[in-house]
Amino acid sequence: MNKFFVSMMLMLSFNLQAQTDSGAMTKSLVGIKYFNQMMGNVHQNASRFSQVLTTISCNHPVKVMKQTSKDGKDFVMFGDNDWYLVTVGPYDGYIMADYLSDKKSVCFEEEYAKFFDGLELDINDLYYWARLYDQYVQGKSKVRQ
Amino acid sequence: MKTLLLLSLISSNLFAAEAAAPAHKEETKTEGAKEVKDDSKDLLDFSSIKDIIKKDGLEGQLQKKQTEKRVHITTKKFDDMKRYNVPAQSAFWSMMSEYWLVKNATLLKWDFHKPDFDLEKSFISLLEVQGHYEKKVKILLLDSTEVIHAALPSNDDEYIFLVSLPFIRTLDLSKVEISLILFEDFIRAKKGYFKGYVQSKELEAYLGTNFNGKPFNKKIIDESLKKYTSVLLDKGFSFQEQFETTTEMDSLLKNDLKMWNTYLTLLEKIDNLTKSNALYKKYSQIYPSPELQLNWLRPKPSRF
Repeated sequence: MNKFFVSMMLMLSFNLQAQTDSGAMTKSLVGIKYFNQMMGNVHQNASRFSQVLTTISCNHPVKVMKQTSKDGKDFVMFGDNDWYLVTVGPYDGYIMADYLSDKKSVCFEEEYAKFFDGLELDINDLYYWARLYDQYVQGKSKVRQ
Repeated sequence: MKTLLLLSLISSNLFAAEAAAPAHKEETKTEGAKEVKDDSKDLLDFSSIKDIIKKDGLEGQLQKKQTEKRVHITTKKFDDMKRYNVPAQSAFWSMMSEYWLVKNATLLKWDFHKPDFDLEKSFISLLEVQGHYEKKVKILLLDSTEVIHAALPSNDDEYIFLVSLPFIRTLDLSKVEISLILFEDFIRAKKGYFKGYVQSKELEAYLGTNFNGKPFNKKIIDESLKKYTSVLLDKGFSFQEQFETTTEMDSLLKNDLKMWNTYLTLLEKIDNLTKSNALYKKYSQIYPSPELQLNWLRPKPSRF
């Protein structure tokens, strides 16, 4: 009897937890952005080392989403404010903010399509090319006042 | 009498025929005129339609459509041809370096979980102190000692750096020291030594062309890949190039004595490492040599 009661309590608490989790945050569309690097990954979490959900190539459109908490706070940037929450096809994941642009960019594989085809990249190469953009640390020197 | 009768009959027939002939002539004339009239009627109808077409601007529309079609066909042809463009120097090098990194991912071991050192921030601040602005920097840490550090050829105002994490850890390098190593590679890249080794006359001629109707020259790309490997893993840079790089570093860093001393200490550390650790023996072959660099840097003793 005691065991039954405990398991019932546990089930109830899990159910309640799940309900509050799904109800706590709502997702809504912010806009469409385009991937601006040669290849890249959509990650499960806002970290370059988190699991890869899918790989996308240059100029791939992604839906940028925002999360709204129960108290009405909007969250557009994640991680150290350098990741966007995105929807790409059936996947909901994260992409580094620097890798997304408002407009389509000039992409190597589009500009030099047949040359790029001629490189005969296999699935392994494409995976590593996308990983390369996860692993790079990037920056740009600027004139500072 | 009989002959008289015959003659009169013949003459009357002749007269009748003569009288009938102009009537027939007139008949054929009127038929011809009718035809001409009909033809002219047809022509008149066509021109009147033409006028209407002209008034409606349909002829102009037709011409416009035809021109549009011609432009569309030409543009399509041009776009199809454009797909066969070979990148020019300005777009080729970053792609080529990344292609080499992709092909050598398992050898270089760059795909690994690493802490965030914020190396780019300290290096960019050094670039800014040295007056190098609007330079895009990509740094890739390696989990191997196959390549200790290098700047790969890249597009204008863009730099791709490789640094070995085991090397950084073995020497316990600070961010400033790592930035100085990267800055040395930056000087080499600016001087175009690496690019010079990879670039052949054939490659130079091939870049910026179009291979429509011809097979893609994969051989030239494969040869370039081999040259990348050769420079980074085997041949390295010449004494002359090392001397030029070191003397430039010397003159650039002398304004900041603290920085200059850090560079000198760094070279001493590398020199000791390459002499004592077998894993880094190849270093002097790629960058000849830390010992010589120290000699070039150290002030010559005064005669007086």
